[in-house]
Amino acid sequence: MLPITRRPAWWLLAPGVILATLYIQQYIPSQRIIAHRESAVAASALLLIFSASLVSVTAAMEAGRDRASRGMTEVSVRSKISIVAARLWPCLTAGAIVQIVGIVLLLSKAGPTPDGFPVLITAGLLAALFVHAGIGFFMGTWLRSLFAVPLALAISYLWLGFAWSFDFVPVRYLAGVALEGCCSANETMDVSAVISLMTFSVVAFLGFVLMATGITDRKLTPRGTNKRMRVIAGITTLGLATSLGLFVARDIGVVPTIPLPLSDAECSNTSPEVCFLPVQLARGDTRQVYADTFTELAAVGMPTIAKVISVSGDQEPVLSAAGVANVVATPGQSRSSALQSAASTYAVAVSEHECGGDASPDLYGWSEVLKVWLVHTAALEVLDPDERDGIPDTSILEGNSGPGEMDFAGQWEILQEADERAQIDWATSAFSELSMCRVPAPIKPGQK
Amino acid sequence: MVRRGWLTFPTAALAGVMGTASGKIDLPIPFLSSLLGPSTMPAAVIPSLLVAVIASGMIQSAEMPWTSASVRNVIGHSVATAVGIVLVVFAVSSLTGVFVDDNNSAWLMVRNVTGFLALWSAAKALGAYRFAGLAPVIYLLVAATFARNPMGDVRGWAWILGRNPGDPWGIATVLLGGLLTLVYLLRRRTLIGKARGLGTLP
Repeated sequence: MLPITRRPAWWLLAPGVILATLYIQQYIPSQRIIAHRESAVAASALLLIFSASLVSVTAAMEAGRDRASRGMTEVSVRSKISIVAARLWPCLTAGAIVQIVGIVLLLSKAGPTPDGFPVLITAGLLAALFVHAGIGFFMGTWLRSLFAVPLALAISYLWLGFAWSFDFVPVRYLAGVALEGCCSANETMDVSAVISLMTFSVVAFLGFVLMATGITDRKLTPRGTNKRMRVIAGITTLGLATSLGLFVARDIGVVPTIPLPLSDAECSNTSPEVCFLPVQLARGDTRQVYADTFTELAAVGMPTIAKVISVSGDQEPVLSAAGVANVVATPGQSRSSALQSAASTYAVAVSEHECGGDASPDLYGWSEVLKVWLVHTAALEVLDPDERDGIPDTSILEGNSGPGEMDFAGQWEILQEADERAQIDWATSAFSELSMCRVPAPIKPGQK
Repeated sequence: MVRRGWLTFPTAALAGVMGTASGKIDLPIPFLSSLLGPSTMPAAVIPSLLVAVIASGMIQSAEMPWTSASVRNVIGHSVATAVGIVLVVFAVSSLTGVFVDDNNSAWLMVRNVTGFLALWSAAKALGAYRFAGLAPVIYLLVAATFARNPMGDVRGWAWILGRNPGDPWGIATVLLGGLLTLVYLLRRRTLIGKARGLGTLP
């Protein structure tokens, strides 16, 4: 075994860990992964830039040592496999350490969680390092380390950085960084994204190693041996890896997630019934606030809600005809943001109506006025006075009211001045007008 | 001097054409996007990086160990070749810039190649030996991951992600690299590390 000081992987381990730690501390906010192990581990896919760079640079250096010390008439005693293994194990171990340290840090940032540890995603991210070891090993065998080391790093970076935004979506899952799109509290990782990553990485690693063992150079192989077939086999294996990976990932969309079934949700005994998933309840139970808000708003003439759920918007409309409201519930949501999420349901539902191209641009502005009124009205009843700071948030109204356009902020002020009966009448009529894609009549000052 | 000049100089010329012609394209960077939506870098960064890696490798591999005792200043020849590469990129880029009507991109290409080569030359002067070519790549990688502060502003040192050829940080990088190179050129040995032959065996 080579002494520890001769293995670049151990030397570069410390900078790798430091960069990964800095990155987590600066750019991965804890509210993104809070109370969700799966999301925390998936977010560590961004750290591949450090772990994979470490693997490919050190693999290129290690392979470069063999290349530089190879003699003209050398006969290898060890098998090709044991040579590759002896060169690459420190690189892969060091890369895995960087990745695992990142995962541990992210898990501690996520805090206690109700879901289990996602072994498959971790295995997938570690498998992703193999292809970079292959890149490094191939470059290090092919070119002198003067070129091989910088080019291996550049290729690894370009592969991670640009496969990520490829137009043909399945390609993104071959590189692995796209896994970081997983998961909201109501989603889970699509297993085929991870399988695709693992398949591609391991098979492509074999392809790169085959290519590396087949490179012919007057210095590298005794005269007369023709190893062109190995290079061809390696390129074929790379093609095979790509097609296998793309085949497995063929049905995945831009985000590698599938929704969790609603049967996992825990429903409250309130009326309306509120059903949230365990992760959404992991940092405090706000189901009572949702139930109270919908009860309050039904009392002022909004449609009655029978059940409240929180799933992704593609599955369920925000407000269905059967009275099912689909809200946005996140773990750690405060009581006031839970109230805003509940109360804005009606306004979001009308603003998401398909009104066609010729609909008035004022529809959106009016739905915002309605939203502010709903939040304001519900907050007065449901929240304690000290929880109402900053509610309702009227800044978006001012943003919508440009010169020469409808003054929505002014309309809100006029609405606030009116008496309770007039406010309720305006809100119910505005809701039904907006639901039919019609612009509600402006509020008249002094309408008492 | 340079090994395989027939490959190096045409590569620089080709990269000048490609970098300038693709001057208006932006490439997304995933690692800066977690908070603020996708960030981008100008597409010309990639050809300039490849020119820098190839040219620096070719120049350095011509510095044979035995030439360090030569009467000729081998380091000076290397610096002159690097300047020659920049001149080729300048000529080709500005010509392409006239054709595609995009002078800014032409200057950007020249600035990027000069900046990357300055980083390489500085690393070499400081004693990075055969790993000096890593310096530009590492700089790009670090810029593409850490260039934004959590508020979303681009930090000054990440000039490579910007589109302003006159960026003071970029000019400062080139000047500093030039200064270190000059010291190395006059001393004829690296600033850090023990004296050893130029360009150790690959």
